Amino acid sequence: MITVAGVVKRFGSVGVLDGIDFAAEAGEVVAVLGPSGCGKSTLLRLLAGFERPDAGEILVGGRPVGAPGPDRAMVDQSSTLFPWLRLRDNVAWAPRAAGAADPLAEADRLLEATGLSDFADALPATLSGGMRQRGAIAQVLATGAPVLLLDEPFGALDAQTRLAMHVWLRDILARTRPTVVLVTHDIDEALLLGDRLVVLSRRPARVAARVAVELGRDRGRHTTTDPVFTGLKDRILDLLTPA
Amino acid sequence: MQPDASASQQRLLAPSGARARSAPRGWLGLIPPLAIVAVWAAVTATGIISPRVLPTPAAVATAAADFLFGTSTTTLPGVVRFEGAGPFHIAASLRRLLVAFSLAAAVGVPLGLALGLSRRVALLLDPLVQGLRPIPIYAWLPLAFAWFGLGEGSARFLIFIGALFPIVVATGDGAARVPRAWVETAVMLGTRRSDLARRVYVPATLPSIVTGLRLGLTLGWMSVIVGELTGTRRGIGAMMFAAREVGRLDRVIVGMACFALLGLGTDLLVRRLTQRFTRWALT
Repeated sequence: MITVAGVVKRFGSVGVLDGIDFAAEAGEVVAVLGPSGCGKSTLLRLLAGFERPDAGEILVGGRPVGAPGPDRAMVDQSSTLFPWLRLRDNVAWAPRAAGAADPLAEADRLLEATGLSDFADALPATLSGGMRQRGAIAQVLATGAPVLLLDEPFGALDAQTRLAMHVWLRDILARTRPTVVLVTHDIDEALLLGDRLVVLSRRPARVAARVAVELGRDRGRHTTTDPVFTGLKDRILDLLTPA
Repeated sequence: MQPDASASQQRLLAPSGARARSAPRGWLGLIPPLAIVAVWAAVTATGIISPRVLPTPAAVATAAADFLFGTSTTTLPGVVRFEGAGPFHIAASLRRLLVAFSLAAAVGVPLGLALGLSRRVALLLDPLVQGLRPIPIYAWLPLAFAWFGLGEGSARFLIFIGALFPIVVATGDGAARVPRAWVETAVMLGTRRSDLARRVYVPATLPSIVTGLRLGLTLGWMSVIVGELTGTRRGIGAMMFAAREVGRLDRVIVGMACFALLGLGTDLLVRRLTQRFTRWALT
């Protein structure tokens, strides 16, 4: 579904990404981990088509990425709900732009599926941070895009809320099965949500490791004490901590 | 709570319910104007200030009643009427303002949006706008006479100029500051480029547009008086100049009060009409 091959990105004289390779199968969640400032977000912006690589190639569904497209939808850490619209209208945005017959009905279905129906009429500013991020994800799911790009979607939330969000998102992803690239610096988040991890080195980033997460489908709070989880976490901490 | 906390600290430290109960009430705002009237009444009644320099509040109140409900004693042509002419002058000023202000909004909002959204338009027009903006309204008076003659045309032109620039500047500023993330999100959600203005830029700029309209309205009202220097015989300003000619400061103060109330009223109207579209920016 997604192929990233030899991607290089520089901003002026600063090298950010130095030959990144990875792939994601359809319906798979690939978590990209790396130290702060290593270029994870840049990688996601390249996938979204907001930036162009200086070298290398990004294919989504077999086609090269040149610009933002309806096959890819992105959520970043600062919620991007439109503040002047009620949650329902925010979620109805994509169906409306696509010319759906009844965008509000589609929004209501998604709000129901994501447990947000009670807040349909709320303005984003009146929602909690966690609720806003859920809203932003529902808004993006409404595009029906086969590829979901998540840039530290819960980075601004406190630890407890974040864990609840992980459980919520796993459930949603299991039901909607998009291909997901999740960028995060939170190892727990990567292990709870990812099927595979791509660990990046410091800037200019290269792939330091690719790790398969064999923790089964049912992951939650109990998973964080699983010996496989703690073993993987140790290994990744070693990779991310400079010697 | 600290035992030595001051009253204001105690209020801040109090639970929000208690704070709400002790929150300032709207009527508090009436105290300063009432106090001014009281002092005014005292200094004029005791003769500290001569009524020729400052008429008594009672004289002004009588003049106001006269202005609104009196019966005209003059039918001479060319004389600016006062008794009972209140509604006539108020309607004339209000109509003048609304026509000129609507035109200023119709030109100013699109121009501001274009300046804020297009770098090319900004490079082309911003220096002109910034250059014209500081010119005082009075400085336009001779040109207004030359272009529109004495009377209504000049008055409307001056109000238009007064209201235009705050609208352009506030709208442009707001449009230029629409977060890039909102535009990117809209594009990512499938919004066509041609729909971005309608769906993102305009709604996101609305609070700034409303601020511009409110400022434009205030500046518009301030320009009404200049516009009514243009030899018109209708309008609150015209009445005030006629009153000043004959030394009737009580009538001048009635005119000032009319401007104050009309300014407040139209501002309230704009706020009420736009509340629905801008309340998100306040939360």
